[in-house]
Amino acid sequence: MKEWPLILFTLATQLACGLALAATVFETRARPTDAVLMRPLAMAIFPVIACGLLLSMAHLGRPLMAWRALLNLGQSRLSLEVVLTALFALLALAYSGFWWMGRTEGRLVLGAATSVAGLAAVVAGAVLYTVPTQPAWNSGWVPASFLGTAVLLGGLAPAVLISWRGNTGLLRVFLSATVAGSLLLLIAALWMMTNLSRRTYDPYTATRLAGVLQWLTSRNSWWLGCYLALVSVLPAAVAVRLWPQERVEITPFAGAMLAAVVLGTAMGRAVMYWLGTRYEPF
Amino acid sequence: MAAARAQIGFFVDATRCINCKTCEIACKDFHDAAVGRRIRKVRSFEGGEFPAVFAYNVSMSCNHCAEPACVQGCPAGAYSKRFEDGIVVHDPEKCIGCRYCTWLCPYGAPQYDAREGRVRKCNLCLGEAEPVCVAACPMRAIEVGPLAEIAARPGATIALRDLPSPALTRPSIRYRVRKEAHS
Repeated sequence: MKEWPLILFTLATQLACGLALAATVFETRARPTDAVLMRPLAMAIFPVIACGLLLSMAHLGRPLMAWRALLNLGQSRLSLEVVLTALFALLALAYSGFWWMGRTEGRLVLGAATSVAGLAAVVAGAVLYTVPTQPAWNSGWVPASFLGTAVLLGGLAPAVLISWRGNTGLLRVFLSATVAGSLLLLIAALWMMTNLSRRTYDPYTATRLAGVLQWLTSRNSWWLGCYLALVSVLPAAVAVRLWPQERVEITPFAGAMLAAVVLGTAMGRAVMYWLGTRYEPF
Repeated sequence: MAAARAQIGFFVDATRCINCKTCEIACKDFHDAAVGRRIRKVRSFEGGEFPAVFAYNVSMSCNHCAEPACVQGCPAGAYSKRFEDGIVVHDPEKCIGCRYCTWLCPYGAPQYDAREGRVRKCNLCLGEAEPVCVAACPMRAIEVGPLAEIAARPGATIALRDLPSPALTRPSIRYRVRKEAHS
């Protein structure tokens, strides 16, 4: 999978965005004495997005020239995505720093700004792919998939990596986000299949779509099934299991479940890149 | 994008093309393209049902489109469209090898060269008397000239059933093909 740097970069951006949203929501709803529970996850926001940005440079043929990606900001969607992601990273640096230093003044506003920048970076990253020359990608399922991943990971990570003792109302907020994210990913997958199956009067587009649909369903349906099991069924099962609990402890099993869901999101992202790069144009 | 003063374009007579790939080889050799990279490509298309079957060949490199997706999409500004003749030029010194243009181009014109870590593309052999593909074709199936003159030739068309819609980027190329190849 030659697009592995972009798979990891996009997932890192969405994970960091989800954590920023989660930390901001946490701060609005939790008792001040409980803030320490969110601290490790909030501190992880900047390292995650920084690693993602470094990994994205592995995609370039000339990584040392990466700064040139800012030069066509007025026209290029890719330049815009680079700028927004860099802005998100800068805000994340400050926000994670605030959590690390235990500084609370202004942290809520900074968290909101970081979350908005993260969402902007995720959306900008998604619209890169919705171009008319890529019929498999030129559909709303790609932005839905990107946003669904951010919401899923942002809800699931705090739900399973924080020890909840009381304040289960907030736990259920994150579990609701987990279910919402998994539902959005399921909808995105169905939307993708609908897009690949759509009728079009353009013979070239019809041939391309039919080719990737046949490739996906005839030989790789198991991969798609594993993806849906990991990002839709498993998170929903976790949410159902934890919902009635009054006390939830961090366990290695919970960490393994989160890792499995992250693996699932990577499997889905790999499918996305395969669909667009499977056939060379002309 | 502002229209070129006098857009240059290709004319490919697919009724003459015999798929010998001399144009591919001449281009690849002249520009030292990497293994697996074809700056000019020839493809065959078949169709119809027996007994009314047909086949035709299409030779294509960069179409120097009127609305080039590569120029708009490249984050590094490595592409530009010349005003005087509409040639879309790729500057390899500015290329960062992100390969976004390979996703944007409906015709696969940009070809990523892993040896150099950047993209290569037809520049209409700027600096040469004529493009090497035109000079090399034994069937004289490829020509270059003012697009206005080429488009006015009898039978010249841009809408082929096996090619992307010309509405996407308005390519500066015309073909003469069998009637079955029209979209």
